[in-house]
Amino acid sequence: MLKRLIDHPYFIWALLALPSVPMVSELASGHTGPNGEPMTEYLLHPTGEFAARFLIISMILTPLWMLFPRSGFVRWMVKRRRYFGVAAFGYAALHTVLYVIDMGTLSAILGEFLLLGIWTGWLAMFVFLPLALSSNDYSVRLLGPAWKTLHRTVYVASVATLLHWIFVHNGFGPALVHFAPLAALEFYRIRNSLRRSQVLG
Amino acid sequence: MTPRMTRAMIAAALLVMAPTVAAATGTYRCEPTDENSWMTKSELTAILEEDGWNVRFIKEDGGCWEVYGTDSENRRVEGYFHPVTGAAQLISQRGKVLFRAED
Repeated sequence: MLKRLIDHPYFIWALLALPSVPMVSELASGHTGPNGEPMTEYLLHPTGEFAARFLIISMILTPLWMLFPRSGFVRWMVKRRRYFGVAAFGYAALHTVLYVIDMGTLSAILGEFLLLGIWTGWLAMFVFLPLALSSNDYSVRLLGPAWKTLHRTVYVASVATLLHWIFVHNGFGPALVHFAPLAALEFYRIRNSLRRSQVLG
Repeated sequence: MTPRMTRAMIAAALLVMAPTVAAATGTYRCEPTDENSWMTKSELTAILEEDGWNVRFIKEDGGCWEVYGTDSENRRVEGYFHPVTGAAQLISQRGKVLFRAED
């Protein structure tokens, strides 16, 4: 019974949507943030952070599975990897919408577009878009092997996200805390596959 | 778990922990001052509005007044101000430093 519930697609959707519940209710409440800031500005940080978290989770699952091939939990997550990717896009889209509303005018947005901390965020969003649109089963079938090639551009989005996070705050701390596990696992994955090709070659 | 995997796990744990410690330092730290001598948020707002700023909100950070708003050139900025004198210490636009006071 419990297993059926956990394996239902609605369960993972609900889980991934959970962090957005307090965000959306705060936004709808019309309150200001704890320091009197507009809610659009206050929510910029948590929406961006959750986008990055889900992006990182979707990317660490494969190397994590290599590391723990017998873990039922990792296997459960791996089977739902696309959901994490879509959630990353959802929070990133909310993040972008809040930013646009918070800036208010097109000229204000364009005025800071070329800052390193800003255009990297737009780049990540631009890369995310086709990935999110092609995340359904129909696109996987339609694109065939090209699907994998297309979705490898997520590496571009992840580097852009990391740079966006570092430079928009002009600080390494929180961004590196989040990206360090991904970097460590990617390092492990690359080393592992290099080793394997050496053995085979 | 093989020794190689253990090493990888330890390396991962260290990589996570190192920046957590570094994250404790704030963006900017003002010299220690007595909070009783601090100017009020509205006093600082008035000074900044004279300079053409539009103040969105102010909070305390690192012993400074941290102001969010737009500057006289209508750029969205974040500024650290000396809480007693109101002098600008560090002003940045989306992480890009526009002004830094010389010590």
